[in-house]
Amino acid sequence: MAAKQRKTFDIFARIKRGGELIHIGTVEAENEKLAKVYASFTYDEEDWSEMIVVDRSQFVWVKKPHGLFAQKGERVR
Amino acid sequence: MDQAALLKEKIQNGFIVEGLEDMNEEYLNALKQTLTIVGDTELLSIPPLLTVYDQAPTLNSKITALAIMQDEIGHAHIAYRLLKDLGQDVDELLYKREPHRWKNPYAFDFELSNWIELGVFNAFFDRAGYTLLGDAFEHTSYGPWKRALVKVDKEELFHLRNGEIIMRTAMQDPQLREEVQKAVDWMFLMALEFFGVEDRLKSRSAQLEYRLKGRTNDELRQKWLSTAVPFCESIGVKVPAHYDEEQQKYVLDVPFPCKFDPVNKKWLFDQPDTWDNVIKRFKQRGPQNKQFVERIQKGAKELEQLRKDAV
Repeated sequence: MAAKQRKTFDIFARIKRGGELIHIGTVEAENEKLAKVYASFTYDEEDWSEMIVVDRSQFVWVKKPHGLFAQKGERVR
Repeated sequence: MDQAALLKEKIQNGFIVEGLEDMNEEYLNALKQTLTIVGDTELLSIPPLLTVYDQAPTLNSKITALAIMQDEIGHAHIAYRLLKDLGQDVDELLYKREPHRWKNPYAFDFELSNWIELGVFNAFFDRAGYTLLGDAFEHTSYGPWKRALVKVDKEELFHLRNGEIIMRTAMQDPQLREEVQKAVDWMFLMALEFFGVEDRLKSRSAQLEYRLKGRTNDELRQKWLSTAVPFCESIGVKVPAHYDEEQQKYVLDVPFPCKFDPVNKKWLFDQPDTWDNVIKRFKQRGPQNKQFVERIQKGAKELEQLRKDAV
């Protein structure tokens, strides 16, 4: 089923110039083009000055919060 | 200290849960249950709105109604996306689940009778959503949900204002005035049922202990009444509730809960009921439950069949 080929994209946006870049949500899409369309239609609560979709699998984590119940010594994925 | 006690203590001190590794089983289950109710409620609000959207009096009203439905789909999407990140099979949840297992309010299992009912739906039911989700926005311990609710909070306020405009405008027309009163007569108590069982009948609530929400059912019901009743009084609509100075709270002038006649959309005030029976009525579902859920699932099922036929 096509659903299995979908990827998760995180969405970041800035309301106006000089404002903070904030994480506003996520969408699932087969590719970047569709992710852009889904993001702009789903998150239309502001007239954003910037909006970015990022494939979650491409995140390079430098630091993550340590899970409260993560096993001792286990690295947070 | 066991995991549950540790997590509850940390949360009461302001700890924000960010991922699965911060949760115990009980927290995860309570969160999934809450998000399923929220997602189902947002999504299943659309079929009743669609039953009358072609009765919109102006093109602008129709565009507004469609914008509201688009918002609701967006809100449902947020809840289901959060569920997916928690490991839930959302395709299964959306397209394979039997209609009677959906968790939307009983009030959404009814067709609307006219455009005025759409206005009261927005003014009352979206107000209930705004009250419930506004509380979650303010208090929830789950970080990803709190952040997602910024959008929801903003848009639900717009929906309930749209409902108020429809009601206020209709009250100036003698014929429509009667329709407003008729709609309010069945939808007022329906909205109060959104907040669930009375506090005194609940032994404990994981939602409160883990601070998925901050206020109790009765407190939320009072919050809804504190804005809905003054609004209705200000436009001349009669509601079965008033503010009691002595008790310093809103009290109902009719038995609540009480029996409901789903065919005539009428409360049977001479037949007070118990919350146990109300829960039974919720589980039996309302008249359009099957039809409305099938409408949501129709496209996905047809597409799946086309794929099978093509292979």
